Amino acid sequence: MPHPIDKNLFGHGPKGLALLGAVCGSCDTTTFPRQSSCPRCTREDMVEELLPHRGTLWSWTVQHFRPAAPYLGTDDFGPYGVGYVDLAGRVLVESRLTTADPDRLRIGMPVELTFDELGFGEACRSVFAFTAVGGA
Amino acid sequence: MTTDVSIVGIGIHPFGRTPGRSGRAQALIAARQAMADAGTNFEAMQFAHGGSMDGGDADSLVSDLGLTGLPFVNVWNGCGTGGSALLSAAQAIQSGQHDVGLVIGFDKHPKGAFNTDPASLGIGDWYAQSGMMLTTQFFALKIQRYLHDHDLDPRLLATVAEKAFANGAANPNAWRRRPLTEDEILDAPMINDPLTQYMFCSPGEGAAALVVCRADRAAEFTDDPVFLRSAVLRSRRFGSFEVFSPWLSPERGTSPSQDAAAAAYEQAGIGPDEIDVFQLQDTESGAELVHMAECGLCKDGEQGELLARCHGSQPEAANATVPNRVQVNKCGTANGVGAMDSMSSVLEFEEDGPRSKRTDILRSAVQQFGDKGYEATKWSYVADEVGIGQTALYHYFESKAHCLLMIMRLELQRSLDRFRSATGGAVSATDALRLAVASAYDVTDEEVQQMRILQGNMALLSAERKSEREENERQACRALVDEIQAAWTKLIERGVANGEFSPGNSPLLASVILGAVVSVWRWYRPTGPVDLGTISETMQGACLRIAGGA
Repeated sequence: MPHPIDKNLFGHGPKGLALLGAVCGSCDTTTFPRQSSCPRCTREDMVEELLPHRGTLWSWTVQHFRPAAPYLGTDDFGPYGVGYVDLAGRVLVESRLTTADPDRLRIGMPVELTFDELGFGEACRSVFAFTAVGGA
Repeated sequence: MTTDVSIVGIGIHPFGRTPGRSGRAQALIAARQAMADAGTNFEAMQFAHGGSMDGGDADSLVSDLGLTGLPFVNVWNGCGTGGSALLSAAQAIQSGQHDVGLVIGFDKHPKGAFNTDPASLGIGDWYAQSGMMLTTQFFALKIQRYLHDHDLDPRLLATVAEKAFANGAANPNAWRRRPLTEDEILDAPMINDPLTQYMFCSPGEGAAALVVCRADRAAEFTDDPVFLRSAVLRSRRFGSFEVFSPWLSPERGTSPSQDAAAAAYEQAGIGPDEIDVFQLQDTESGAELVHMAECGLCKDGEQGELLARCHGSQPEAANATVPNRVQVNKCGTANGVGAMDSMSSVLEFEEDGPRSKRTDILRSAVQQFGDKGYEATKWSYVADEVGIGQTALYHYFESKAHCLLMIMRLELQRSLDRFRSATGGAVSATDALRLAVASAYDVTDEEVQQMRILQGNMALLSAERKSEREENERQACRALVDEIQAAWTKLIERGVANGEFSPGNSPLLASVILGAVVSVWRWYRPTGPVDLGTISETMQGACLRIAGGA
């Protein structure tokens, strides 16, 4: 697997690489990525926590034009899906999706964490993405 | 806020694209207009607050407006810059510090999507590198969920955009002046599902300025002051869904628009049901739908009924919370006018996507119509020239007449834009008239062709077209013709009022001058014996004499 796009986003859990968030010891708010203070209760009592692998699609869109720099994707741009994934009611994480086909995207569908490659050669990086459970 | 602040002068530089005129220059025009509207001058200004995202430093305007030593505070607050400048100016007056001041907002955004540095927002580079730091994406994700939660028909997004373009077409200061149908909006290229190209506004240029003063001094400046009942600014609270959020809480909270609207109603002591005209942030169609509910015009999910009432096409619902007379974003706002000081929507599209053949078709048609004449040009020949099939040609233009009408509209718009940008900075009416005539002849060979086509086919504008798309173009052409006539008339009237021109029937004189100016295109050929420089000189003198000037 290529280098991760940012190693602060990930941690190793029993099921392999997972998203690394933080949970507030005072009010139980979960953030992603991790941060040192809680945006809800303003206290500095955050503890790192690996986020669940599975969730449901909370909203989605398809990106139809190539983003400007510093986007890593290669010049042969193809549309890609983007969504917010509800991870067990703890946090909604924004993520790339493995499909760009609107007919295969539905709010509420079960999805799971996977990894995708973005960029070419030296600049190629591993990014997180969500895909339909069972590859459907 | 008590009713102790009033707006006594208003100035605006048209929105859109004004090549060759800086953002600061547009700001100066708006500022001088606002002060003239209040019958005052810069020396009377005790303070100024203003800002720009990309157009330069507002406080540097003093080098042109006058080095009077007044306190000039730069405001930089993203899409809230103009509103924040007004808010802070109102507070300066309420505090008793000042009585009279200038508020100004202007911009000149570069083309293309706004590109924000993630680090400036405390977000890692990964967010932009992986293709998620896009405002358009956020708008799409937000409205997609909203439509789902409130069971709204996605077609409403096109209804909102159609209304914005129709209102823009009626506003001489708007950028997008061509009405579009719901189908044209829905059929446009998809940008971020469910939002198509024409549902977004584009980053543009323009300026607006206000003279504000203590309400008890308003009568010194105007008979018709606007009283500021409330002005409120809020930032997001936990649980709101705003732009550039790598994560959200599953817990939904109130939005800054809800908070600010509620506070503004309370301050003003009135509710949404007592308001006739609303201006909602509408960087894209979805934002307008959401903000209708967040600002209390209707309940979540009732936007369809509200829009029908905005159009006036449905009787008032029995449980209506908003009366029939309500107008939402009447000026066309962001969608029709163009985005200002806006960190929100951020794409500048040409009329179409990058692969569109529309420009090629128009170019080829201009060549053919210009060379052979409209009647003699075979429509299929244009398709051959561009290298597309009949079906593809039909996708862009349903007929030869449709294409001709669009060429005419674009040419009329170009003439009007050229007139405005040529005369905008002129001090005297004599200068303005000279510059207006000169600008009419400052054209490329292609524009000469377009002028010839326009003048040769004006009769087409007199009769109604059966096809909706042709008729839309014809109506837009007629509106532009009226606007051009009005602009020239105003110029003549200004000269008469200044004593530069002899008094007479100004609209008639304007028609005569316009007629003389465009008559050149019936006989002029780039290869002919008289060059445009000579024509321009001669015409400038002739038109001044018609106006009775020196």
